[in-house]
Amino acid sequence: MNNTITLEPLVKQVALRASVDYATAQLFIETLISKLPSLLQEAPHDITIPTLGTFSLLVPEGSVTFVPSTEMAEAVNEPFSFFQPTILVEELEPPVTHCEPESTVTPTQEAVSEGNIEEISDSIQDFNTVIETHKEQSDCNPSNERTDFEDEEDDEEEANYTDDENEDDREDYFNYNNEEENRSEELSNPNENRGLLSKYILTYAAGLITGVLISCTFVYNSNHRTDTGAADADIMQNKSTIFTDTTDTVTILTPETSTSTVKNIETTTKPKTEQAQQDTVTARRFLATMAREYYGKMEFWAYIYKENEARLGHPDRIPTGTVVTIPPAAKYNIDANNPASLKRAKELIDTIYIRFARIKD
Amino acid sequence: MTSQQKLIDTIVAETGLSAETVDRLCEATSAVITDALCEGDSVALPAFGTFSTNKTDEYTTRDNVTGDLILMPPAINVIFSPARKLTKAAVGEKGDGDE
Repeated sequence: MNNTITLEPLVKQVALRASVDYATAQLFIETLISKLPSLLQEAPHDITIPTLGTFSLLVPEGSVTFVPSTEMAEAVNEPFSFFQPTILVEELEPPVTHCEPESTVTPTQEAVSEGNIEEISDSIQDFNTVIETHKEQSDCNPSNERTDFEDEEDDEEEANYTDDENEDDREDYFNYNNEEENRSEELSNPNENRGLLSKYILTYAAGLITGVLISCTFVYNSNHRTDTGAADADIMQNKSTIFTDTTDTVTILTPETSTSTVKNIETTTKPKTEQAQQDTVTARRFLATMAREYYGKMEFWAYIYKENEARLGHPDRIPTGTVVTIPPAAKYNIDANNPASLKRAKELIDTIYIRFARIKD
Repeated sequence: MTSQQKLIDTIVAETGLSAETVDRLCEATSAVITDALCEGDSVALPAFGTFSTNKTDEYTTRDNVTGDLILMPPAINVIFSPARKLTKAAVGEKGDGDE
């Protein structure tokens, strides 16, 4: 591996393989090397050596090229010979996880940097118009009458506005005022800043409510997932039992038992799928487990994935609790005893994984 | 006359070997070089050039006719780097014989 074979070892091996003496092989190779350039000079400027390849002289460039024969190319590329070019479905390319940050320069800042005073004046006039409109709406709306309690809250909020959290915003705000000295008094008026403060209050309240909801959801789930957590611990300790578990839940969607839950069913007693059924992915139960039980081979999980691919993401990252539809075997001509069916399933598996493969551009 | 036959005739005339022997030697030379390249080795012949291999990773390309995005598989390609003397001799210049 990664060795360089020189003339002498080559001549020895050629002599052995062609069953001739060393001198004959050496004479042949030296003659070949010495005569090849002169033969390349003659039209059509290419020489083909059987089972080796074709040497060509590119006259304008004055360079010699070599194209290996089919036999040599296939033999050298044998480790990757089973790969074939695959057409990718562009809609299923991995989403772009990062993008260029958007410019944070506002039109007004851009105008200031360019020294365009007219644009700055127009922007300030628009801003004042919006503030006046908002103020008029607030005065006309009787529901905005404020109680003493609300006023106290606003005072607290205004006091909080001077905290460190909002210090950067305040600096930007006053920098803006310094740049626009003619309008500084209007912009620094607390009454006109009330709209901005309302926005902060609403944002804060929304964040608080969201946090409470997330906490409640987490507490609820943790109370109802103790069994799954234990199963996760077991599976981490002994992965060899992944495909031998027989105590998972199976729901068969027939008119009689559409809502019943059948527990503790032996793996071997599960019926072959004559009709669509539903099953649930758990910590110990994957699509491959289901495929082995329903179809006889784990490779047929690809058809279960295909049946539910609209709701599933990466096949190796299906969350527990996901309910999947088990298609009937006849729908995809699934037959565990048929090598062609197994081959089709493997090809489908490749297709599925190619969608999630990282694509180099 | 094909270039292959022309080469064999030239070597037969130059060495005095039989055409059958030259044909067998051609096949043996090809087989030895191919075996070496399959093992990942390179074959360097003085004043002629070096045969070696190069692995290309998988990549995506676009079909100019259909516009489809195609995932091309990895491959091992044969590379031949001609010696300077071979190139100069082929284009009719005098080589310096360094290689």
